[in-house]
Amino acid sequence: MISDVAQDEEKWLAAGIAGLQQNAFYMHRALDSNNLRDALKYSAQMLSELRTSKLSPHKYYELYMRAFDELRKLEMFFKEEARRGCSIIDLYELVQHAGNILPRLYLLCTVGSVYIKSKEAPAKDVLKDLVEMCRGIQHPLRGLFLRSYLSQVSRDKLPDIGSEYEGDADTVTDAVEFVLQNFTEMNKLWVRMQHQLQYHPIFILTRLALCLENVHFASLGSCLPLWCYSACESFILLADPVLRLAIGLSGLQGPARDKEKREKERSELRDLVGKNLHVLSQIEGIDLDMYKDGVLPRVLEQVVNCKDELAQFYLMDCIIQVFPDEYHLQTLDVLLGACPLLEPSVDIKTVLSQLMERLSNYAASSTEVLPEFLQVEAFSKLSNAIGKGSCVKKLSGKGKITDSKATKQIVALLSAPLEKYNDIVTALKLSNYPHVMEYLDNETNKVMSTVIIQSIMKNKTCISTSDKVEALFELVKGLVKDLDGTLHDEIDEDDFKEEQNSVSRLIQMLYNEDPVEMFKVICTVKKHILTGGPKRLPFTVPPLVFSCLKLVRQLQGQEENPFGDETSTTPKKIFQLLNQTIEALSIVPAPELSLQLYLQCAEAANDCDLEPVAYEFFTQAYILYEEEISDSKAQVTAIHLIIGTLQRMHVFGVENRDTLTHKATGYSAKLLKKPDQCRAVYACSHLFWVDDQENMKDGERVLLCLKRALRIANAAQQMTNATRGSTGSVTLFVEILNKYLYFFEKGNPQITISTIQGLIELITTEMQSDSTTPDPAADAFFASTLRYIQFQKQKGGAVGEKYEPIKV
Amino acid sequence: MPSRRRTLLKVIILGDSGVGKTSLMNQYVNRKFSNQYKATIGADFLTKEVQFEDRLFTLQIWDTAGQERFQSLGVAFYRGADCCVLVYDVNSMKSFDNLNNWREEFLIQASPSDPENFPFVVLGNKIDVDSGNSRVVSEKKARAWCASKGNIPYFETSAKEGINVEEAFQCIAKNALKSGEEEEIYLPDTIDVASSSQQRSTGCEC
Amino acid sequence: MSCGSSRVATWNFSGCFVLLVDSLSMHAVHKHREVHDYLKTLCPDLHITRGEYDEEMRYPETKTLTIGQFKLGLCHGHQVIPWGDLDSLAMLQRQLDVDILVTGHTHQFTAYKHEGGVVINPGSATGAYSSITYDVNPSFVLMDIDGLRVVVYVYELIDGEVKVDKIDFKKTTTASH
Repeated sequence: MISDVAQDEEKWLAAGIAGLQQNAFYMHRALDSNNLRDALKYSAQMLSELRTSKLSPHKYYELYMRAFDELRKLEMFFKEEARRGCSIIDLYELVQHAGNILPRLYLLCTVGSVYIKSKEAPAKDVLKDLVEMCRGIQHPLRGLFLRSYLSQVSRDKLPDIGSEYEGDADTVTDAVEFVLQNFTEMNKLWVRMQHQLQYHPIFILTRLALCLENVHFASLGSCLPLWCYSACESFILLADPVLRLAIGLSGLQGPARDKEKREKERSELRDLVGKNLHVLSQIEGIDLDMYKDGVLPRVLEQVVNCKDELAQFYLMDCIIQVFPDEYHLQTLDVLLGACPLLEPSVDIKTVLSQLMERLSNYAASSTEVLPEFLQVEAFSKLSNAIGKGSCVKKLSGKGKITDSKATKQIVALLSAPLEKYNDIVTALKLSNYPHVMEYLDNETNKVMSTVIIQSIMKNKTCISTSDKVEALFELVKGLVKDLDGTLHDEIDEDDFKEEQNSVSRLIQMLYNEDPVEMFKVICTVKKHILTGGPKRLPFTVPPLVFSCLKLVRQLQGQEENPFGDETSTTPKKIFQLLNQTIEALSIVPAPELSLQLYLQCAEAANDCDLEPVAYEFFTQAYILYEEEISDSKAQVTAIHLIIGTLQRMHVFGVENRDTLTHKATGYSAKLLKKPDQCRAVYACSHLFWVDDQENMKDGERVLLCLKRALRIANAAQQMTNATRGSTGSVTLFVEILNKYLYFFEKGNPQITISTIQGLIELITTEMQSDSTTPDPAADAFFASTLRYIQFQKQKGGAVGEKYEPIKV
Repeated sequence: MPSRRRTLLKVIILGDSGVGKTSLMNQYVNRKFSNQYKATIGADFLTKEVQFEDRLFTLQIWDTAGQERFQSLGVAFYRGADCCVLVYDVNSMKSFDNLNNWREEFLIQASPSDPENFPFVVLGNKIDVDSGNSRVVSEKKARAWCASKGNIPYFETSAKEGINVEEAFQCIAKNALKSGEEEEIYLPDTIDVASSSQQRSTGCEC
Repeated sequence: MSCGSSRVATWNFSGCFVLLVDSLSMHAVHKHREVHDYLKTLCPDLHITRGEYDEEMRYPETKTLTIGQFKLGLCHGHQVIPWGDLDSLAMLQRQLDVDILVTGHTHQFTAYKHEGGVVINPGSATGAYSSITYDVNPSFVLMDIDGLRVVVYVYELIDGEVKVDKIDFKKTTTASH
């Protein structure tokens, strides 16, 4: 349903079109008969339709376009007239006799176009004349369209470089001057619309006078333009920002919906103003210097000084869109410097994000572009502009969302070259890149660091020298340690884990074949990760430890140079580093992890035949076990690791081995739960029997262990009896039986048939006893053990013989 | 009374932002090209004289903004167009897919008297990029679409290298002329020509 | 996860395929979620036992399951001393009463048949460092269980090339339990 207003508008438009068409018809007739006078008369009448105030911009535009099309014909006629000998200068004079100013000026511009084309006068003179004459129209809507017309007809006649209108008198500077002036005037008109009043000028001025008596405006001084009654000038003075306040207070602007309507109309008209910037961007003669020194400052001056939110936001957007990326890069300071000067209500973040989007596309477009970015420190400037927040007034939660968007933009901008290069190494070579990261806020820094690491993973980049590693860790230090100013704020647990996992994966990717260089790399990494703090160390220490162990293994193969100097890379040196590194975990604290790592190191030392070093690692592990590991489950795991590792040690002399073994068995017997004790103790039996070393087969001590285990199993049974009224499972006995068989087979003379037989009978009795809780698993286990014995018997040969006497 | 012989041919160039509309126009009219992307605001035109069958025509080529937010005043300038040029970037599937929208939108807004036969010309631009290796819209596909829409003439162009630009605009001019978008013949009512139409306009003196 | 946990993932083809992997990450801690989820995409039926670096106490030390005619047992193996000792592993196999024992920890692929059944160690999927094994080649195992027969395919990455080997096992009796 069309509202009344809209219906009226349609009516007025139709009427305007009708009037226009009628006069155009007569104008055509005049043109056909070469009747200049009539042509001017009817064209002026036709143009009078454009004097209307009743149309919204959209509708006015329709009317305007029709007039425009007609004027093209008129222009062609003027051209022909000129060819026929009519003096253009005279024509220029003639059209100024038109009754009303608006038609007069349209005609003047049309003739002016022909005038310039005729080259009878320098383009700049005519253009200057026209752009100033247009001041005669101060009504915003009409003025904007008029000037837009001027812009359109003059477009191809600007004295640009290489244009036919360029001459000694005319240069690109003149072209620029013309466009800038037109732009400035149009912007003023446009801004003025915001404050347009709906009452008659006389009424306004009286009210204004009354208002101003009550409000002091010092800046008015003695000049009192108020008392000038010219209608045109009333509009001029009302553009004064100081006076706007008075107007606002005075209520002269009319009701709120008028304000809405005004804003809508302003919005429709904005491209007329913006177009001037487009024209500027298309002037070839404007090179970077001219843009930087002449064009941009002038444009920004107008943008800032108009103090109009709508205009500022729109024009900044235009500037960003119409001028090339290269120019923006080189004038980043100026552009960004204007932002804080804009009205507080301007959504500067959107503006900046559009700028960044352009720049990130530009950055990604070609590798040659990146140095430019770095040279102007683009990233840091943009980051500052966003981070500063001086441009951002929104304190609501909304502001935060925009922040992360801005972060994403900066990250996209910085990542573009990474993706392009596919190789962080090249990016590292660009000396500015790391410095840029310095300027990023902590949040952005972390995001960028993750991006960098992912890039390395994706491309399997090999970072192999310590100085590159140094640079890399500087780059990603946001992930490696707490940056200044980070309160350990609510960082999401999962996010943190992911972050640290990526750092640990990164560490694993660092490799160099040359052990000397690799050791340097390791030292560099260690230096950095040790600043990471207790939350990070559990992630970063293990991969470093294993890198070291791999290096140790690599060096094992090589002959150690007895004449090597203090600084050469030796396993000993690496073990020292390992010690220091694992020790750092004590601040977390992470005793179980540390214990595991110490044992790994011990084994590695064992393989290098470094007995004291291996012993030292064991000592550290034992200390941790005794002092730090109290959880019973953790103890069980730890003790198995200790026993398993110790069992494989061949480097220890008798004394050391004895000490360590004794301790291990001691720990085993002191585990909390009896079954755990039992199992650990029988596991210790293996400490006394090493297959491939003859002097490591102590049958007695093995048997002692197994017997001890048996006692513990018994005790366990009794305990269960006491507490639950039934004996527990016989599983432990079966396990021990299997161990008996194991060592029996290995040839331990202390394990006799009767020992085995005895245990078998014990188990059988226990299982048949009423008080025993049935345990199908234990039954199956026993059954399969017996089956195993059978099987061995049936094997024949030496084995068969051995097993023969056992009765099942 | 002689009917006004048309010597002005109005052509509108439409297409997504960044496909090369301004560059094509610049290449054709000024023989110039710039690699840097500069957005177009609103709509504006350049003219070029073309010779056709011994007659001189003025081709009025309207370049438009591809970005929607830079078309705040609307499309009143479509009116009276003799031909519409649809441009897409052969390296952007989206720009090709949008051709349909541009075409339909134009027909709605401009409402030519004979929409079925209104002349369009399609240009697949930027064929020079990456030596054709980043091309995603095949010639075959484009031609098929053009054929399906009433055998629209199709050209593969490069504004940068100046490939096929001249040929394309020749065809555009030809089709614009052929289409004969006749001006509405206006007949005046019987009103005394002396009476001014100023009664219709109100407002201030300017 | 780390110097790993033994995992078994199963799905059905004509017979039944079982994927065995150990040590899915190179000593990186706290990566359960990622690897777990990845394996789940391979197959929804996922079985995990605890490795020595696993801080997740909720993973069991051992696990048994039945696939077709076979009983499988899983155990990481750091609990069985001496590490990698086949006789000790055979004891565990008897204890769990399974035909096939899957174990790990040594990062060395082995497939060993004895009268009680088969012991399989799929090695390390990532080639992670091991104090026990030098020069770990990344490997994993795919078992095809069909009736009373199981074929073990081992995939090893040696010098940048994937080598596949296969070993056949046949179960002699069905219900020996």
